[in-house]
Amino acid sequence: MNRLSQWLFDPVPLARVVLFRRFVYAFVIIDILLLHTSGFRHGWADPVWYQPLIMGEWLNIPAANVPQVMILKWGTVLVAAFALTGRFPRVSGLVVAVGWIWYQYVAFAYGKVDHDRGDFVIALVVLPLIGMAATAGPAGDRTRSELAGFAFRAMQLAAIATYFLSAWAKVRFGGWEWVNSATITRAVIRRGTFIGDWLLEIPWSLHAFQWVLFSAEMLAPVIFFVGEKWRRRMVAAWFVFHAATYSVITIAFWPHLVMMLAFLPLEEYRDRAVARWNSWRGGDSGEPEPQVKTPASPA
Amino acid sequence: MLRLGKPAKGLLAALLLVVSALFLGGTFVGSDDWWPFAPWKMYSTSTAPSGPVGSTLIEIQEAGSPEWQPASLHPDTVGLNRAEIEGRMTMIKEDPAVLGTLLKSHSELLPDDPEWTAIRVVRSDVILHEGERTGETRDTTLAVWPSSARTAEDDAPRIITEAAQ
Repeated sequence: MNRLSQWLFDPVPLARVVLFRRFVYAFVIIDILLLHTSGFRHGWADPVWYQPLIMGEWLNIPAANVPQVMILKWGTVLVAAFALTGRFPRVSGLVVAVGWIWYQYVAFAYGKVDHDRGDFVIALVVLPLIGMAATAGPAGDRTRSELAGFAFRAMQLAAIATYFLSAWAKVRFGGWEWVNSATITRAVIRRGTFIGDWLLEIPWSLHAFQWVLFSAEMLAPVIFFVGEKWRRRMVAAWFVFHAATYSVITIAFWPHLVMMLAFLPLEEYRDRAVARWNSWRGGDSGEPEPQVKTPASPA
Repeated sequence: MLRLGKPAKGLLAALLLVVSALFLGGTFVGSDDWWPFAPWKMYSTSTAPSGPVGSTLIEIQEAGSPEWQPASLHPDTVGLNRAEIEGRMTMIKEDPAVLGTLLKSHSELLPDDPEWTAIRVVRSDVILHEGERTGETRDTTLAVWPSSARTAEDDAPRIITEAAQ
């Protein structure tokens, strides 16, 4: 029990929270403006097409109309931009969470639910928990926080659950024979690129891809039991997988890609990039500071 | 290091358990209605290696032209996308008049485009044999609105054969 608690609340530097939440709120803006726009157009669809989800029945959410989607779209974008400044992180984070979830709801309550957006909800809900993190200094606050650790663990679990549970959904809806079906062939016929069309000429390639995909999804939770080095390699492998999927059927699970960043030590990457940038600009300012302890400086 | 008290940890762990239970419930017994806890069923259904792979499309007539022409089935043109129309086919077949709302949404979204006067929903089946395309496509009319635009060609599938691949 104690070890489980240690794992769940394994502290994370606040600097990582500062960087991660920038990815999240920047993504919200890009997503609403460019990536997932079908909800906006539902403002123009006749209410006869509205099919409330359970959430909408509980909360009495009405069918979309033009003013509603305008307010949701631009309101959420504005507050997300404000959240990027790091001020009032709890309030702004909460408003973005409500706005984005509602906007997705409008997109999904017209007969088609996308299945790649459940995990991002977790990120939007847990980030406002860590209020003070956003105020960490620009140089990066190395203070570690158990609350931040919990938030990251929850996001990692949600991201990996997306793979693992989607494998089980395949078993539930497609049966174990899913791996031998023509599901990916069907996807390529419906929305394949020229690479996809080329793979259609080699039918075994798409068949093999289904076996690889299904096995990788079932084994995804292994990531929690391996060392740091392999963890990073596995995250990289998933990014390669998603790039390959995009090149074949132009489908990318965008919010989920942001979630996968929750596995990475972003503040270390940032420091390394900054050091490289400084040394590239010449001078030795990019060199690591001497290890000799100097008296505490005001910075 | 910023630590958390025991009660806070207990509360957060309990919340995590509840959310996990909802996601697990969604996967094993839930449906799309459960979103955000809906099952993650992207590409989860099985498609038989031999048989039809269908996709739905719309064809329209413009004012003054009785000819059917393919049109974009996209949120920017009619307020809905293909999957949403596919998900509501039962309703559309029962009451093709709902297709009339798409004509209205189209003229509101694109007021400068030629007006659409009739619309039909067509399922285009690409025929597979053991995972490969046979070169045959079968187009079936699923619904027409207004009903006066319906003709004899809507009563049977239209078979189109491509030159051998």
